[in-house]
Amino acid sequence: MPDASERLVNLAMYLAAAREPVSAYDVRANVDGYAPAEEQDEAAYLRMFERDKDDLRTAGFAIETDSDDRYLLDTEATFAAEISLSAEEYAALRATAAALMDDPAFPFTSDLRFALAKVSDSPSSPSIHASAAIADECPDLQGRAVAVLTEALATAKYVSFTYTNSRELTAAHKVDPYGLFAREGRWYMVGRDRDRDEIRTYALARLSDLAPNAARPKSPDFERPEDFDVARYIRLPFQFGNDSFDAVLRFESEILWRLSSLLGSHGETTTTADGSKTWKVVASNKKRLLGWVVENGPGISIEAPPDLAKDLGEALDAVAKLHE
Amino acid sequence: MLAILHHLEPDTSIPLGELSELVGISPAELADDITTLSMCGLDPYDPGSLVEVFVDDDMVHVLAPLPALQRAVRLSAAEARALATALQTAGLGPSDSLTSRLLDSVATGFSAEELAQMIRSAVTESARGVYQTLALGIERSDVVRIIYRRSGAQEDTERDIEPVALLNDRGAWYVSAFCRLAGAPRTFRLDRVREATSTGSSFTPRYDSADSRAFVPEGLPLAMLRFEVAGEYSKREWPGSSVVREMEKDLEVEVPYSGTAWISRMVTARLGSVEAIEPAEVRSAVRSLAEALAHPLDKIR
Repeated sequence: MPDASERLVNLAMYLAAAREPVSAYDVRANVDGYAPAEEQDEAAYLRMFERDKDDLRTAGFAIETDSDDRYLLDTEATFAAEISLSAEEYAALRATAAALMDDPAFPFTSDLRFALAKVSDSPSSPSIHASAAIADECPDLQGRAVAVLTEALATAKYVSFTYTNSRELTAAHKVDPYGLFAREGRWYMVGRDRDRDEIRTYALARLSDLAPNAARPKSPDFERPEDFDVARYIRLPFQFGNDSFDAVLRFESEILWRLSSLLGSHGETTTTADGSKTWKVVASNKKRLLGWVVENGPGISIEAPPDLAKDLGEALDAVAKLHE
Repeated sequence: MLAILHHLEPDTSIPLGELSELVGISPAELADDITTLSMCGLDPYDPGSLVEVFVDDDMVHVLAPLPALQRAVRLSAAEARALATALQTAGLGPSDSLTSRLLDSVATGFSAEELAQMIRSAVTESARGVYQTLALGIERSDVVRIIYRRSGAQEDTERDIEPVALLNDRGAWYVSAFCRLAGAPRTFRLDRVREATSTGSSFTPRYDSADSRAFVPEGLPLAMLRFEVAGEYSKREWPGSSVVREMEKDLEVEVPYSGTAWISRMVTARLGSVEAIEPAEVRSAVRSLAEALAHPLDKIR
């Protein structure tokens, strides 16, 4: 008797070759790997067939069912269209894959491997050296947490965990996970804390005993707000604090090519007559905003609020004096 | 096994190692899968309706067209999510043309935009052309000309580099390369590369790319910094640093630096909560930078 993987390939080939819809009984009669009726009762066979169909659907096969419970492969939905990528694009794909395959903080390596096997161009592609360390703190732990939370996001199940905050206070939480993001060596989860009824951001390196709600796995526990966008929760260093204010910074034309990497999706930019750009952004920490301007310059200046530029001047005088 | 099928061109022989690298499993696992595949096929499961493939002498031989499944199957939802997240990590967001063309071709019912609202594996998008040109340069050992802006520098420099590895460190990408301008190995942060173009000439790698790291502190001079508040010191902001003295409130930390431009800007940006104690060249660079940045602000004070 062929093993399960052999049976699955046979079933995939049978469905791919079928020109007309086929029944479960046609499959049993024509696909090697299914036991005949005298060796396996019908209910057991149908359960096995259901599992195999689910496995093929998970692998990307679009198996349609007609009104007579017969099956036909939707070939357009199943097979990929021709992909036309340049040599540079294929190289970028291979570099990215090579980098992420060994990074424990990237938990989708198995699926990525299958995806690349499907989209790669030819077996004679040369190898490329690349590596990644998305997380610098407990990358294994963070990667495992991302895997659990991604599944919880997809199935809308709440998760419970113990969290130790930056003041070393530990508490149990139950959270509806809405989104995940990676920033400067850490993965974070954004979600609604069920007990506190507020949206909070949690550093995954500070989580322990993470577990999704196992009750009624196919029934969602929550609905993510339609307008939720995790990008809104990714803050710049000067956006942590309670006293928020609008700041306007000016970027000289020679630094504009760096804007997308500096600003991300924060704030609003406006082009001015002299070719520079102004950026209106919400800030919550004056000192950190001033530090950000210095660290990422030259070519950045403060337009508003007016006192801020004065504060920067005084702070720089103090730095110069400290280093006399 | 299903992922292997569309790579099996009839009447071809493929080195086992190349195919195993492409599909991401070991040669031994692949050889087992090929053996299993050779027993798969269609009714009546005779030689004409089986997958005619076998492994011999580390080569995969394909003797005839497949009975079915010659085309690549579209990505499953999990595979599409993995691919889109990987592309995000490379700085290629949902609106990037590579991401959209790729996912439109190979995934059904999947939206990279929707995924990006839930999962962000990179905070910002990179200049795609730079990443791709460097990736191809590494693959083909092609010399690449870059326009680069060092941290804190007023002007760009143009350099011909021999790229050997791409490295992601905490979300930031770097290229490890032999820099012909410096005459030595260097690491360049990609978001500071303004342009990258292939020169069309090739090179022989001068060192083992496996040794590449985003930051190499060995051999660099050390600066001693005092942090006024210990809690403001973060090792990730000061790569390669180590605490040498811990007092009641403040900290003294040794930080490797390759030039005063970067370290003086970092210290100045802390606006007095960090002091460069030594060496004198760093103290002097901090003072000069602070004075230079304060000067244009005099007119509004």
